Amino acid sequence: MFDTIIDPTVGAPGDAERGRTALATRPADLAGLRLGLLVNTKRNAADFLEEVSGLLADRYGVITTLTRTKPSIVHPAPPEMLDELRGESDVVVVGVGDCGSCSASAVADGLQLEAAGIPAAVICSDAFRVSADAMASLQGTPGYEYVTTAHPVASLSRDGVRERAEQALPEIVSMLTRHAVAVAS
Amino acid sequence: MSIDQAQLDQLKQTLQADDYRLDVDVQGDSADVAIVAGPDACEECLVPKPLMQSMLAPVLGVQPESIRLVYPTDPA
Amino acid sequence: MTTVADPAWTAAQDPARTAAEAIRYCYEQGWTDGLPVVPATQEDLEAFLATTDRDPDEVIGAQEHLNRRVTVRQAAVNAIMAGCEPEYFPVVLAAWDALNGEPSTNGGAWQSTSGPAPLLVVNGPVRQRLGINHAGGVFGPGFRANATIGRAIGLLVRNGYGIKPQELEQATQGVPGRWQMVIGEHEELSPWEPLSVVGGLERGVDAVSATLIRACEYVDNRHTESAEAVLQDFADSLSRIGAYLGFRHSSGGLVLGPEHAKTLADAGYSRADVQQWLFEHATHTEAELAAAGKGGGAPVTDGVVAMMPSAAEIPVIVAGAANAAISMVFRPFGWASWSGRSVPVQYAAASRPSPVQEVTP
Repeated sequence: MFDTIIDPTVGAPGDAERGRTALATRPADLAGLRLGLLVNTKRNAADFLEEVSGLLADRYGVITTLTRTKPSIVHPAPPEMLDELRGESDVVVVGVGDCGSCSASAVADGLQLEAAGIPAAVICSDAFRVSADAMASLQGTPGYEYVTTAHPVASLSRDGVRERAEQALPEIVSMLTRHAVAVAS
Repeated sequence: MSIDQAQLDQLKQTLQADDYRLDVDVQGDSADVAIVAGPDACEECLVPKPLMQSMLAPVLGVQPESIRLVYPTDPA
Repeated sequence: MTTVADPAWTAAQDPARTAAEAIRYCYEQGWTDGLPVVPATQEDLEAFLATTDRDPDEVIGAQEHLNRRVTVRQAAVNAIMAGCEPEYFPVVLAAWDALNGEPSTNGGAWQSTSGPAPLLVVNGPVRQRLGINHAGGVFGPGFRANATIGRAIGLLVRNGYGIKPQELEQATQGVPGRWQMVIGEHEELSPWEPLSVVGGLERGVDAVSATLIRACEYVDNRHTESAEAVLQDFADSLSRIGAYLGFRHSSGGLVLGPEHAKTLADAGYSRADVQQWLFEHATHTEAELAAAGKGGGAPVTDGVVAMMPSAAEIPVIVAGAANAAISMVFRPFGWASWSGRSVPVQYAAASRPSPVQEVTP
């Protein structure tokens, strides 16, 4: 009878009682897929993702179509950046969460992308698991999985970065493709 | 409720990786927490205060809103 | 008059009955602060949104840890429910922005055990236009704009952030008058510049200043013509040990009745002079603090502890009727006192008040 009364609890879209973020459906393999890179301004983050991009191209036939750098290290990517990634990529790699706030915001980015239907692999350094996990819980998705690499990343040489990217690659690939684990996380 | 020392140490290590020190003073059901910057600390690397409060709350055994949190960037 | 008693017929035909049912429906949804609300409809919403040029989807506040962000549209819905008229809405938005600009509202104030209450002070000709009381009985009740603008803020915290008492809101006792303290400054009887001018705006600009407070206490002093004696009386309340937290004191402020303000101004005191006097005299000895179990912590000079953080952090406002020498001391929440900034009320280009109504500075 009172359907015309406006509900005062409805706020900005996507806020109501945020439940667990369901992960996007994973592709069976990565060949020919479009890769988006979401980079933060932490030192060596861009190089790290560039190395990942090169390795994914050489070994899995993935084409990097878009690289975007976040304007803020503290906050998740703005909506327009998210829209671009959604429009021009099939899978996204996010990183590198090598500080308290950037590991947290990288996890928030991963969850945003999953919610938008884009499989994402988030890279954080192992020293910042606490803040990354805290953000996942805060976003209603405790136990969200991400790829870790040893801290620090910022002080590595380019060769060091390449080596790390190489080490992280299997996990990144499985995070972007493995159905069972991704769904059960 | 009481302080979870193992978790607190872990949190301290996390902050230390960004060159921050964590000073904690719990009084009953509230706490004063100051985060102090070292010489190599990066201002942007601290998580937003509400997130820090929600991280500290279970560790200190107090409600997030009872944690008075001081950041190095706060006006004196 | 019909005597037909068929309830279905009555509900369908009697608008008053329908309204009562709609109010009941809102209670059942958990949308009210305990008092009846006005059910919000699309038509009302459009009228409210027409008073501002801001995007209805603009996010005007967030509680990151709760994953809640409130919008201009949602503020309008809650203002309707609080009983506001559409032309109050720009003041509601300014009040909300003013509160969000205060350091004390960050970091869980809405959920705090102190249960602090916004004190919202309105300056400018908008007081006359909307009938915002600034004279007798300024702390209410009885004036629709004062009562509903404050209530709109409370409903937005409740419904927008989902912060409800005994749930996410953990007030031990709360504060009387929470969501009710909207006062106009009595600029016409104030001997000093409007608070909004102290807050950085031009005289004659409609504005809201905000702070969160934990208590109000009257100072009744009709017995002296000495400005210093009146000030000493205020200093006594300001320095109350109960508001001292053992290591840092809360600030304090004054809502002066016009008679007290006149006494002080006639003796040559500017607002800044009043603040400075109070800062210097709102003190306790170390021994007095120790006797109340609150020794140590604060900086001591010659055995005396200043209870106010600084002169500038003692807001002085003039409001009420000039019929008795009564004032109110209020106590800000936490140790972040007033930011010192007032927020101008912004109107939609189409509904901006005509220049005739504006006061030329």
